[in-house]
Amino acid sequence: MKNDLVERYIYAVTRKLPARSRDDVSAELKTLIDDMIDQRCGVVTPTQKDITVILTELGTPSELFAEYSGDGKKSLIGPPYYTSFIFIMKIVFFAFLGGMFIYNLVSFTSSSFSQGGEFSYLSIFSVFLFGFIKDFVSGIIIAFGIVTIIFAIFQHFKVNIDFSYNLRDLPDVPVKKDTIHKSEPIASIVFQVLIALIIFTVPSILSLVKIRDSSNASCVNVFDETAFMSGWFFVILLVILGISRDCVDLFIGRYCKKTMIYAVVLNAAAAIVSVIWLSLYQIITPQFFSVLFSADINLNPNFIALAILLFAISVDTGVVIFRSLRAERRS
Amino acid sequence: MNCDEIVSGLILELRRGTLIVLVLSQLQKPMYGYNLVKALQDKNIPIEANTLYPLMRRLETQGLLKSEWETSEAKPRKYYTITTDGKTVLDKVTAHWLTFSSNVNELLEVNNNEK
Repeated sequence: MKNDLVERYIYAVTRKLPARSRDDVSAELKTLIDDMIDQRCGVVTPTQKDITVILTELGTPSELFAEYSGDGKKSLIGPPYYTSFIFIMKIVFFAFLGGMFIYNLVSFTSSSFSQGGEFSYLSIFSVFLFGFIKDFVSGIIIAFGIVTIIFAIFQHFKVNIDFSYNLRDLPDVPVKKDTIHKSEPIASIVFQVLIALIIFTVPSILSLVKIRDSSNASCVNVFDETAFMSGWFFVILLVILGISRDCVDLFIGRYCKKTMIYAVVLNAAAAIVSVIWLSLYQIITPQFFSVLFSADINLNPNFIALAILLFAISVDTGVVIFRSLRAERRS
Repeated sequence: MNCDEIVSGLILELRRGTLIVLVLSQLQKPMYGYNLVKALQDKNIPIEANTLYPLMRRLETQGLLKSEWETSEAKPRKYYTITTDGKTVLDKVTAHWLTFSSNVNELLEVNNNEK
């Protein structure tokens, strides 16, 4: 019985240890326990109680295993990554909370309008609330899971996410004017994800944007829903580029040369994607101009969409270049 | 505020590095784990076997200790000795410890006398 308990204890400690050290640790623990028994009992035969006391003194098998494997000091996401991890988790949480709320509100409103009929306010509210909670919970679990996995990978491979580790590379303390407040890029990310989410799940919302034909007072859709949806790849690509652009602001947090370079490269990519997208897909209804001006105009209305996109991209690029150069001059 | 918990946490932190130096210092001649537990306890340095055994393995992995199984005795035992690298590390850390601890003691004594 003595051997039985001791052997089971040693087995419980060593079974999860790497195979190469298992036998060695087992043999060493066996001698140790023998020594402890000798110390306690001397020549007297040890009782079950003696063995139990000695093994309790050694600690639970899992505690001892943790000591041997160094698990006590290991963590899934440790100190260098923990702060960033919590920061990202907070952003994800609030982005999902707000995003799912608005998304549910829009999809719920549009579906109840299309169904028509009479509902009590209470039932409308409970259906909406249930849908919102369901989407939020299922979404947030996946999002938290993904963020956790990414950070666990960072921790495991000790990926350097602190780019200012070299003293010479430490960024200057920015003047207040040169800092980018975190709320701007976060709001922009939330906005873009939300718009994309709404358009892709409730594409009929596009047909809500209409212009009135002045001659016969009928309404015409501004967007061609089918064309818009078949070019989904470009829309996603633009959203990804937009979010990456916001991440630059979020993580660098100030106007400087690095921010400028990343922003210019990402914006140039976005401009190229926009040109390709709008030359392949006619997202604005072809009769847009004729309805608007009641005259035939030989101009592709897609041009309007492209002009708006390129204008927005140029303004952003201009602003970031101006502010970054000003910050660089100041430093 | 739970002072006891903070105190035991601090003591644990203070002991952690010190124990490594002590273990290295005692292993100038070959010793097995339980032998070392007793030797340290005799010098009023209590250490649990469940801390010392894994610690010695870690020091061996780091190359500061080497080990050998002695099978000629009644019980097979694993004897640990300090390596050349271990000695270099020990010398440097000891030198640091001596100055550091004397400076610390000096400061703490001044503090105590002022009370």
